[in-house]
This record gives sequence, C-alpha cells and structure tokens, in this order.
Amino acid sequence: MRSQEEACRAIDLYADTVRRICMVHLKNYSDTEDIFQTVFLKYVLHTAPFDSPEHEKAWIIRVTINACKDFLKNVFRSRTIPLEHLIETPSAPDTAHSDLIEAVLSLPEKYKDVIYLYYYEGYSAAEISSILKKKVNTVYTLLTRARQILKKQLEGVVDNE
Amino acid sequence: MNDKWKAAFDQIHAEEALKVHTKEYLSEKIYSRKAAPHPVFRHAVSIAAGLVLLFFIGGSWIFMTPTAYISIDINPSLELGINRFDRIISVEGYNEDGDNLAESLNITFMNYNDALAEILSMRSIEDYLSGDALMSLTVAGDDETQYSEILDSVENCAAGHENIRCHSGDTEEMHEAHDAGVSFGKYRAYLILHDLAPSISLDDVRSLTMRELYDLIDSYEDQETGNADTESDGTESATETSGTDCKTDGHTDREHGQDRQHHREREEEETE
Repeated sequence: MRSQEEACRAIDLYADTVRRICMVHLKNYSDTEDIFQTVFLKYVLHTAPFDSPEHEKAWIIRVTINACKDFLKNVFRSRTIPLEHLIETPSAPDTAHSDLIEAVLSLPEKYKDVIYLYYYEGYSAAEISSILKKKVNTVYTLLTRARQILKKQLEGVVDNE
Repeated sequence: MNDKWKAAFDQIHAEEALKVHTKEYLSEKIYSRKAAPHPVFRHAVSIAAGLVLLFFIGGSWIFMTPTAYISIDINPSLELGINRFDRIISVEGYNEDGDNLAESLNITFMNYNDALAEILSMRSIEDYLSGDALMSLTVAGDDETQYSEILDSVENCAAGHENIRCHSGDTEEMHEAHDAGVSFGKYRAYLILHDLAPSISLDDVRSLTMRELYDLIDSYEDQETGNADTESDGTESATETSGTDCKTDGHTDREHGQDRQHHREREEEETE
C-alpha cells in the first residue's frame, strides 16, 4: 500500500487528467467524485512500481477510463436517471472552445477516449492501443470514424493528420 | 497537435473541493483504518470503558456510603458519617447550633481521627468544654471491626478530657433517632432517661444540653439508689431536676408513688 504522502502527490498531479476524462464520460459532479475515489483508492492499493512517470500517468488514465466504463455499465445507473440530470443538463464548461468540447461529449462512448488521448494527451495510436488494450488498427479505425463525425459538427476544428 | 484541442481541455481543472474530498476519503477509508484497532479490540475498548465507568460509579457509591457514624453532642448536635475507608463523608447538624457548627467545619473526606482532633481544638468547642458542658461521643456502625476501631480511637481521643463521655450506639437506634429528628447521641441519652423516668418524652429533652440531660439522668439514678434513704430526699432531688427546662411536673409524684411502694416491699422483705 502506498503512503498518504504518495496518494496526495498523485491526487495533486493527476487530478486534472482524471477530471478531464470524467468530464468526457460523466454527466454530473457526484459521479466524478465517485470515480476520483475509485481511481485513487486503486492507486493507493496498487503496490507494483511504475517504470516512469509516463507509465504512472498511463496507468492512471487507463484506470480512470475503466472506472468510467464500469460506472456507465452499472445496471442501476442504466435504468435510472439521476436527479441532477433532470435539473442541470450536463455540458461542457461555458468557456471558449466549448463547441469543441461539446462536440466530443456528443460523440458515441467508444470514440471519446481515442479522441481525447490522441488530440489532447498527444499519445500515438500505438500508445493508445496499449492504454485501451485494443489493436492499433482498431485505434486507427476509431480515430478515423470519430474525426469524420467531428468534422461534420465542427468544420476546420480537427486537423487531418 | 491542434492547439485548439489543448486550449479547450486545458480549461478543465479538478476542483479543489474534489481533491480535498478524495484526500479525506482516502485518509478515512485507508489511513485511519490502519491506525484504527481491530474490531475485536474496538469492542475491548468499549468494554474497558464500560468497566471503568462501572468502577467509577461503584467506587463512588462505595466511597460515598457511610458505614459508621459518630454523634457529637454538647448542645450542638452533630453527626459525622464515616465511609469504609475511615473518611468523613457527611457532616450533619441536628439542631441550630449543630447546623452552625457543621457549616463552620471543613472536615469532609478527612480521616475521622483528624476530624475529631480538629473539632476538639475548635475555639467554640474548647469554650464549651472549659465550661461546665458535657460532650457525648456516640459511635454506631454495622461493620463490627470498623465500629470497634472507631470506638477505641474515640475513647483515646476523649481520654485527655474530663467532660467527654464515649458511648456505643447501634444503627437501629440511630434510624429511630433520625426519624425523631435528633442525633443518636442525644437519643441514646434520652433512652437511658426514659428507662429511669418513662413519663419523659423526647420533646421534653430535645432542647436540653447534654450536661442537663446527664444531670437529669444522674439525678434519677441517685433517686433510685436514694430510695433506700429517706423518701423526702429523693423527692427533693427529683423536684430539683424538674426545675430545669424539662417538663416533668405532674409525673414525678406518680414516679415517686411507685418508688415508695417498691421501697415498702423491700423493707418487708428485710424484716422477714
């Protein structure tokens, strides 16, 4: 088990990353809090050493994505609508580039991660394949399809790399 | 990489509250559990706490329960409650002077020997004793050992003073005395007097000092023994004592009538 100091350091270091992934997948703040607890609890209980800070970050991203997926798969959740959902519409923060974020949020679940990891975190298709445990070609396909959807929504926002 | 993507997602930060809550959750869920004892120990802690509480309640009950009493009577009537550890736990006055004396005393939780020494060294008590007053120390208690120990030390304490008398009482008498609203030292003296002169009621002696009470007892005793002498002497002494606050008028004649008859019977026996 990791020490409390390590846990605090990880929270300070990766909170923004975890928050962004949660924002992409989840609708409300309380769900985000649940994911934070799950992710950092796993981090504390994960005793195997990381090879590098990059390795650690990739592990955090992977655990967060899995936690979000598990959360969305939850039977209770899939059959009920959270009260917050009725009161406030989940949305991107009302800031500049909110069109871009809204476009990502409107993507089907399977495309969100690859887009986020590729465009924001700057991972290559090969790295994404190892994080998401998918074949590289699958990652490419997902990226291509996601780009096409986004292109329709946002003309000129996505570079065709 | 598209700068627009970077700019868009860079705006998103984890709220401070989120970080704080996560840290709190971890310290509560993981780190405090480490410090927290095993559930069995936690039970042991509550059991121990219960035992300690029980010990304190029981201890204070044991400590605060009087097992022996000393009644101090001059004119002030005072009763000291003594617990099983020989400590004074209650000081109660049984008349106005007694109440005043009880208020001026600070002997609670003192050993009874020290408390007695302090009482005897008090100026007001010394004044009483240097005068003609009589002090009666009466001990009562359920625990035989403690009772006899207290009686011994009270007797030792009284040994240096001529006008202190020590008596032993019993708790049954004590309860009767308390029901009647007098100290058991005075009640005991009253019982002696009552045996000698059954017509005297407790109310008659309530306001008497111990000196007056014992003088009365002595006079009745003298009167009994004096019956062998002339009848007139006995009557005189009785009327003398009845001249005190005690309202024995009207009763003494009957007493003496009985005495006379008793005396006549004795004389007849002697002549036979």
